[in-house]
Amino acid sequence: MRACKECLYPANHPLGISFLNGKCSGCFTHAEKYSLDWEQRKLLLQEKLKIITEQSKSHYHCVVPVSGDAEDYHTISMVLKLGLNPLVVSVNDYFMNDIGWHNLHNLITFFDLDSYGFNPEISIYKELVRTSMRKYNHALWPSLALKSSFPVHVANQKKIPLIIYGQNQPLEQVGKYSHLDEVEATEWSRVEHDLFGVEIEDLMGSGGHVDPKDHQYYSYPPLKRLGKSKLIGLYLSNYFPWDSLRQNSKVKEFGFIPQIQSSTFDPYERAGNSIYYSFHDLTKLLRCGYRKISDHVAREIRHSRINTDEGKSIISSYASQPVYIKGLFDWLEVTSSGYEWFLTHKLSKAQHLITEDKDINTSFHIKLPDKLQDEISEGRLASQEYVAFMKGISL
Amino acid sequence: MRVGASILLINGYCYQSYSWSYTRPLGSLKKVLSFLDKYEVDEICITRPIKGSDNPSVLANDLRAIRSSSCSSPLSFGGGIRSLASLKNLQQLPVERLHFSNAFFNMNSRLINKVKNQYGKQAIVASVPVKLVNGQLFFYDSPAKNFKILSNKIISYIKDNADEVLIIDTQNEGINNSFNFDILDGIDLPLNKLMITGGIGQKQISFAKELGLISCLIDNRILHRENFMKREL
Repeated sequence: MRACKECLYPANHPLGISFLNGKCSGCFTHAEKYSLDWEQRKLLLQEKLKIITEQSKSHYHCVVPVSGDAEDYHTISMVLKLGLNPLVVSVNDYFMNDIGWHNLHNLITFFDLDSYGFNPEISIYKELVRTSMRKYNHALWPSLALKSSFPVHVANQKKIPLIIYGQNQPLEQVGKYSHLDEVEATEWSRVEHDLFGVEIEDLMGSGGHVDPKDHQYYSYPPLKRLGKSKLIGLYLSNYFPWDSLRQNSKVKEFGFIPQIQSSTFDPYERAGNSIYYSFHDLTKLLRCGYRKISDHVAREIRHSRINTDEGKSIISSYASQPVYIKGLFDWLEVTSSGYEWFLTHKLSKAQHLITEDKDINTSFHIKLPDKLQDEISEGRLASQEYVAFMKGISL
Repeated sequence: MRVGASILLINGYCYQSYSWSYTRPLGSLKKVLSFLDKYEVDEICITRPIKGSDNPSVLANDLRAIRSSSCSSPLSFGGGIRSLASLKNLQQLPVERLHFSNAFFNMNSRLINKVKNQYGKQAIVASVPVKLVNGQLFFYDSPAKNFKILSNKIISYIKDNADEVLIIDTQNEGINNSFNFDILDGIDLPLNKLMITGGIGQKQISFAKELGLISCLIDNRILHRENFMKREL
């Protein structure tokens, strides 16, 4: 498979990728970070924010979608430094573990934020997860659909003129745009990138048993309504030189808890999620041909904390790491014969990576290059997975 | 004046071009067309950026992608239509107009006349990628992969045979509000036959309206903003 000669990203990256002299669009866009005048870009953002917030009639300046990720802590700290009054909006995807609940509730209380949460009707949600798994080998579609649309509904309903996101993932991963394009959040981008081209109508085309009136928040608000509210979605990574790992390594000071993972060295990204590095990582391999570790390695090569050879070695070390997935099927109330059917028909090419050992997380460590190791904090193991509701902090 | 979008298609997938030197991925043709439709563009120009020789299997993939798309905005298509043989592949393509570059630069009357007979002159657009250096205009010769002087003879041939002419500012494409209107000074063609693309932003569109151009095609940016057409125009 063709891959970038520097960061090792494959040519069939699901977000799309292009190459110039063997280097991928992600690498040549990353190089902009070392040539742009970031002070000037910060001023540009401040000017935009001034115009947008002056026109606002809402008590809040912006909505910030959060799920308790390390990046959310960084984003919120930046939003507050910019002098904005945010309303944080979260969606319960029922995949959080005890660490995830701590990180979400601690984020809200540490920064003393107003928050708005949505708990989707669980039987419909589970049905959509099962349908998405059956049709697309993807368990996260319902979660991604809600997380990428519900904050937009809230902003629209509450007449809040702005949504602020941290990084623009297509730009950071595959260099889909220049930072100078100042790309904003759009429905097209949501469908193309967050939902890999699948809309609710596609998912429900056959096989789903859900009434359309029950899935309002799985869809984006109508364009005409958004046009009237003049809602804008900005990405901070267009205006600040984004370095996820370094930024995330610093949010422990706000009370964020990293999580030990067996499928990557990164204890920050998606810490607190019960399926991201297990079932989702496995099906990502089947759909895309690579695991999450390749995203982390590409990012670290670009930030020069590892070189290409070290990256290859890290990917290879994690390539055969097994994952425990039975917990997801139990949570979905899938029968043992249903589980066996899925293993045989949907996961047959990855059976060697499936373990029945729940405690797989505890045993695997590799020695990382020093520059990378310096950014890695000791994480914790989750004690409860698939926690529907929990008080994540004690005051 | 019409305001539309220009997109690049390579092997069934859309790309964005920057300064004629490199591309960035955009997305699947199906979703790109569907959302450009939703954003109410007046027209969509799909171009296959063929530098050097064409690959028949890539052409087949591109045509298949266009045929399977559903779009109510008027489509035009160009890139790699250099011979009578390649014209045969275009049958039942859901497009209203065809773009030709090489056929005009080589004054390939056999091909141009065939298209005129088959589709009518109103279906023919001359697509002219240019750069302006020290007041001299150069066009991009795709098969040769380099720029050559744009002669009055070629311009005259275009004038006689094309219904409309798309001028592409290769030096500024992908860069907002940067189309160089000095280019038009070097082209002796009626302004009401000219379409422009390459660095089109709000300022360019306003100025193009004042000049009386027939169309502006926005490169890359329409999908970068929600409600682009209503917000920025």
